[in-house]
Amino acid sequence: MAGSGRAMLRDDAILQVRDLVVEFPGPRGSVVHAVSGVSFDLREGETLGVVGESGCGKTTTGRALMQLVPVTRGEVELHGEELTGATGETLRHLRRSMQMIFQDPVSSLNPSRRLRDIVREGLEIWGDPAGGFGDSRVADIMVAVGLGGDIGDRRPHEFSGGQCQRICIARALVMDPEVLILDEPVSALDVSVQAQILNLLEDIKARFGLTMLFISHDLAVVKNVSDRVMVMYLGKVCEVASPDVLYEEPRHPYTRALLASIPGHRLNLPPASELISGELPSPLDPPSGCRFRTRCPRATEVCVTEEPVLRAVAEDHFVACHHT
Amino acid sequence: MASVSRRLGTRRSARGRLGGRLGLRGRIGVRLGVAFWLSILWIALLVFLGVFEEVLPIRDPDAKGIRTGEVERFEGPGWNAWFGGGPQGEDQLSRIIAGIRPALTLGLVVTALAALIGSALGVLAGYARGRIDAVTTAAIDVALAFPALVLLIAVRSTFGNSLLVFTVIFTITGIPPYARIVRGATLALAERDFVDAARSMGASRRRIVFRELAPNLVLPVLSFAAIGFAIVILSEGALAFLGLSIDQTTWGALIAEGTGEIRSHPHVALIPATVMFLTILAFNLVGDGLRDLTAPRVVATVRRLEVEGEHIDATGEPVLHVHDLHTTLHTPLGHVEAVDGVTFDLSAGEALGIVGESGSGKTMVLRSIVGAFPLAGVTRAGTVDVCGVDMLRAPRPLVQHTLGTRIGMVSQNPLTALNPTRRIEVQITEPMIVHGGLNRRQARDRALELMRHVGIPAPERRLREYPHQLSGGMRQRVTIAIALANGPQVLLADEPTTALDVTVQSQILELLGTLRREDSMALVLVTHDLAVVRGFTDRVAIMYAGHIVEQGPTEEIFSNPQHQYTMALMRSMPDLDLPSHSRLRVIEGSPPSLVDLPPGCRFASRCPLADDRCHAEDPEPTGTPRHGYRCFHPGVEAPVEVGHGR
Repeated sequence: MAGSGRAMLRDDAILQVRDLVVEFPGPRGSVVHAVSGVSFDLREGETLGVVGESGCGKTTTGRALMQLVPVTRGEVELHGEELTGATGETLRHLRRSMQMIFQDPVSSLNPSRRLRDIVREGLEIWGDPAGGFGDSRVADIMVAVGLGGDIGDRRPHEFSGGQCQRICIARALVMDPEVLILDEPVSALDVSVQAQILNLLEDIKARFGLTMLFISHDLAVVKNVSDRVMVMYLGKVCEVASPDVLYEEPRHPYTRALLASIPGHRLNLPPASELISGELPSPLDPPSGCRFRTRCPRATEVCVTEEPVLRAVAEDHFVACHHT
Repeated sequence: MASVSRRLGTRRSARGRLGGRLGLRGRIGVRLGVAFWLSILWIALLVFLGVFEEVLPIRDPDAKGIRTGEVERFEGPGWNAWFGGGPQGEDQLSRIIAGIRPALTLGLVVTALAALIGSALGVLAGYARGRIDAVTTAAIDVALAFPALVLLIAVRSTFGNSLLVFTVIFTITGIPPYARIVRGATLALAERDFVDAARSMGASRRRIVFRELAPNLVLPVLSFAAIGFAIVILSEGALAFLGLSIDQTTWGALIAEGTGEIRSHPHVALIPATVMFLTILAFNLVGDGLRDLTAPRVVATVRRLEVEGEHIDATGEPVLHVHDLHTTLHTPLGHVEAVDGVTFDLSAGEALGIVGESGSGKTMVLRSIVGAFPLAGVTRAGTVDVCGVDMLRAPRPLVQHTLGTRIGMVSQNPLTALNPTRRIEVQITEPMIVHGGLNRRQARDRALELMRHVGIPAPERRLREYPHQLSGGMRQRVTIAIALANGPQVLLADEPTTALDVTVQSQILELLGTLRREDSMALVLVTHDLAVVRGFTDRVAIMYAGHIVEQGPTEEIFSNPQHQYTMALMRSMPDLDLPSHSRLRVIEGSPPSLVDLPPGCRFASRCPLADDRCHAEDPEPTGTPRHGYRCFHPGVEAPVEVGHGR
């Protein structure tokens, strides 16, 4: 698949990621190519949906933005300030304006602490940015995420998964972040609870003026929340477009396969079995050229030798494929 | 690699898993038990006697009866001396009480020091990782291999045998075990997302160690320390027996002294030995109790599988006949009716989708059919027939044979369903050899045929491989091949695609559909995902809090849902056909806990149309035999909430 390239970067973005590479040491001296040259940006107030299957590098990308995994190469700039390579006190301060929500809300909460202390944690670390009104702000945020009542003394195991995710969101909001990175925030939740959290995310985005990176494997969920969607495969970007365009006219062969695989979809696509074959190659030894070529029905010689670079195929629609 | 374990997924505590599925939230009351409190009482008594030794109305432990005449040599236990007399007429009771102080002091000081130093080293190694971890771990390994007894003998000959010398040596040898368990616990905790969340918030390393990690380490360390305490007391006794005791009256010394007279005057050795035994037992029981607090288990209150109710024969000849099935789990929180009056029939070649959220009882229906439960106390009532065999009441061998030959199971996680240490060949041929009566060669041929059938390329090579060498999709194909081994009439699939990627999911669903048509197998597909059943099943049963709330032909359920829960569930799913940022209509609240269900409709508390009748009366199944539901407001469009449009 796809490729590198910065065609879709814009000038007025608050967060810019350029040629991000994350590699882990693999078994016996090999290298796991988790993210290989990914570029994207976020405008203020925008939600970028990152979608792909396991092993595509979407989670690693989010964690690399937060500097939770070491970045091998590339740049992550927030308001022009470089985050990669920052350590110690500098990193501690830079992290404040970005917060992360994780997939498993239960594991994200310290089981031995009380709800009140968990939500207040940001204030305890940094003091109250508003100066002295910390507690009323915490109370406001608790109401905003739908945690009412006298529950501050309870511990995480007394809450359901959906409530735990609300607590995680409240904890992040107390930090007054600009960018929220959400890694599969609704995947561990029941169907009926998913919708509550998705609506809540839309509400707090408007109310607190947030910019979001929304990582998910669920194409329907991503469509619902995103202003722009980026499809990833094996550490590379395949396609970037607005959701309504992407789902209506997917151009990259992998995007088409992904959409055709959704059970019960009503999109105008051939069966998934005609669009994708074989298995995901190992990230220890990714294919040359286009990384999707081993499974792509359209693959030709050029896909083996040359890596496709993201290019505009329409206004605000970018594809990394030799054959579109 | 962290990202791999993250992908594999849902790490949850044992409590989270079972308790969560049953909808058991809130405090799981851990009963520490009588033994724990008796142990605490015993330790408290020892502490009291040790502290107030001087003011107790007892004889001087050093007073010798051969001089004072108060106690005779080897006097038996009685009113004069409760625990009898020693070799020189000492009052044994006084001496045992005198032995409390060195025992407890040694135990307490050694345990506290070793636990503190060891925990600090363990946290350091586990959290810092890298070189610090490597060095600390190597040091621990060397220390554990060090012959403590030799050290003791050497040091003792130089520095004498005071309490201080013993304390120092016991502490040094006590540190490595603490360091080791704390390091392991820290490594596990540091993997959890809450540590990453704290890092993201800019928490300092110190804060993460003291506020995030330490509180979760206290109980495991305390539990280990209680047992460590017992080990210290026991070690002192053992050393005293070898003649290496402290220069004070200790229990070990008393026992050693009495062993020479064990035939003629057994009480001299046996009474201090009993006191020591009880003390060690008490500390061990306290340690166990504390461990149960850290990792509470949902334990059955009754340990038996029971069957109640009557068998109701099927009309017609369904391959799977379930009639008014009730499954009750006996948990410490009470009786949980996980399956409450479930009825359905399945003919050959037919596919039924069971859809529900966690705690709805959908998985428990499958478990009730095969009789496999996650805890020991379960009562089933009603009827489950598989190809005419009464699975609840038939003799055990017949039930097992039916399970082996008529039913195939496919579970959610193919990695845990397969045995990681055995080759694919063994796992796939075993049921054919055991239940199908094939020999090895025939079984192998059949295995190859099955693997081709489920679309596994190069099956000869795959047979020789282990599960970890296969991708998730291939593993699930292998479990399907195993399920098909004996040509079952019914395939039970529990969330078969939930752990798989979407492109793999569609392949597996297609495969299940093909198999069903070609082998005219009946299929029960259990899932939380409504979209999965569409196009892959003939009928759908929607489950909520143990009830099937609606059941009917799949297309009709989607085009004309009747129950308010079904309608709400469909509305709340993000729809690909809707434009981006469409407001989702939500179901407020979360599914109810199955313990203490309120009267009335189980969905009433979340239903926008619920009225007094819904809260008071549980709706009985109505509708037609083709399409039934339990709802007092079938098919009524709920009003759209106002003020939320965008």
